[in-house]
Amino acid sequence: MTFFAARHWRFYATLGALAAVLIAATGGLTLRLPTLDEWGQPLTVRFTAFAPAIFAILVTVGTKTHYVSLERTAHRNLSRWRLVHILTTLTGQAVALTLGVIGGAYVSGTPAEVPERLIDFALFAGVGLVIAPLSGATLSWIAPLATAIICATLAVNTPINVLTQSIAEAPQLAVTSVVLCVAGVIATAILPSRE
Amino acid sequence: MTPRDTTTAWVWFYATRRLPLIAAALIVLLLLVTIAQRWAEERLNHGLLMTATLYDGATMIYAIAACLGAWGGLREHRLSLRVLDDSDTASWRRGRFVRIAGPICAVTGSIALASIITALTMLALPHRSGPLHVGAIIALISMAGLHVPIGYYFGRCFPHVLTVPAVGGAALVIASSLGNGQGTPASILLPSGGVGGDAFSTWNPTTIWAQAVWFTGLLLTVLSLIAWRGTATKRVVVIAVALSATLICAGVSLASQHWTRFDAGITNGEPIPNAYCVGKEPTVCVPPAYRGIAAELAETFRPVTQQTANTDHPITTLELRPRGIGQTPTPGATAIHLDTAVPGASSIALQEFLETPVWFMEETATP
Repeated sequence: MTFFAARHWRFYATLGALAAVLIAATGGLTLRLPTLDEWGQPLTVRFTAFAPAIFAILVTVGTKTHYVSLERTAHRNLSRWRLVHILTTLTGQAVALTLGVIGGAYVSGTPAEVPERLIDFALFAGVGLVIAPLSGATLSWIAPLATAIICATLAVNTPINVLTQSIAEAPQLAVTSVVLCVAGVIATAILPSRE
Repeated sequence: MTPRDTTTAWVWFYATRRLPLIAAALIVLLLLVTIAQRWAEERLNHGLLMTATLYDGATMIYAIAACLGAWGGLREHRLSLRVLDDSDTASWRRGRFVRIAGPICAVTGSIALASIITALTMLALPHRSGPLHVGAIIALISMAGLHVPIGYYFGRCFPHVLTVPAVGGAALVIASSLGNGQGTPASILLPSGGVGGDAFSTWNPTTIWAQAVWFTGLLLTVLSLIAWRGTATKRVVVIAVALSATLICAGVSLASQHWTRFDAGITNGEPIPNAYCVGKEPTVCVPPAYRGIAAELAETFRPVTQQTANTDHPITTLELRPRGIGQTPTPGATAIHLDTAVPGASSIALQEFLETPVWFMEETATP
């Protein structure tokens, strides 16, 4: 049995495909956030703004293994497999996210914000993967979800908000996101699983 | 097992198994109060109504309540007490009821406490805006409470690691989009945010109370079902179901009169509803949301109005109006505009008033 089989990668790949269809189908859906913009009006964002968080949760939760004792005993030998697994799931979910965003833009007749959403995905996935070795994969969804909620509530009118800022407006966000994502991949690869 | 042993077992059970959920509920309580107070201050600064502020903040609370409920259900499933639950002895039925109702009451209680603390804090703010409807607070607590058992049963029935975020996300989407249409049944019968409602709107108290009755009925129904699985006798359950059915029918029939929480707002020349007027020469009339800044506005505009005293068109009454076409003031009044109710902001209104070149011709109606 390979490491991939223990991680139920097919299940999360299927969920990613379903999520892409959901994002594409609901491309025109608008959410009214419980926060105000700088003019005092209720802030509304498209549902696709939350798509990166959904796919990031699939990535972080997908690091769950049912052979934790085995991995902990032999984690030096399995770290390469862990790295391959996380890179594969990151790539797969990024592709699903891209397709979902493009489909959503086609449905709603709005421009596709693929680079923005991919940067957001890197940020959410990075945060989740950094936390996952500490919290365990079972609770690793908390970090991306909490980041999304903070962006939708407390950090709305700040320059660090990925929901309202574009790459052109805040290029430092892109650098931070990529650095966090790389840190998350390294942390997941070298640290033993905790369940 | 003697009664003393049973008590010790339950204390041990709660100390080891329930503490994480109770601790999480308390942490969420602190977070909610902190976030809600910041939201409240921001909204009240912009002159939004207090009740609308509560509704808007509750959108996020529903998702958190559903998440906590689903987490509780997931943990309950992992305890693997289902085999023991199937036994029909009185003590295990009682225990089952306590185990199910305990987490639900802990989470709902902390949310109710957070709502009450937030409401009291808003009442203490100096620039509070509009009335704080008791019916709205009851409706919000019932709505949030309703999410806990629903999330709980999702956690029990679908014990998967993704259940909790999925339930929370679904609750957020429903509250933020599906129930967000103004004037539709879904906006009243589904949990949703404030849906507009600026300082120039007035609340529809019938709809507020209809929501309170409707959601309380739904919550009572869910609790009756839990009690039915627990120790309640059939007579108590029948009475509870009858009461909740009555509340649900009453709530729907009340809500069907309007299907909206606000009126249509004011139009051209129409007076501000429930206007609060203060001062003489000039008299400043503001909507209730701007009550705290009315005297300051009168003081700030007095030098300007005194300069117009001996002209053909003296300014005697100032009226805070919404911006936009078709928003001329009532006859004899002059319109001013302001987007924030923070004390000290009246100079912004004065500056805008003076910088508007055609204010005298267009916005001053003939007495």
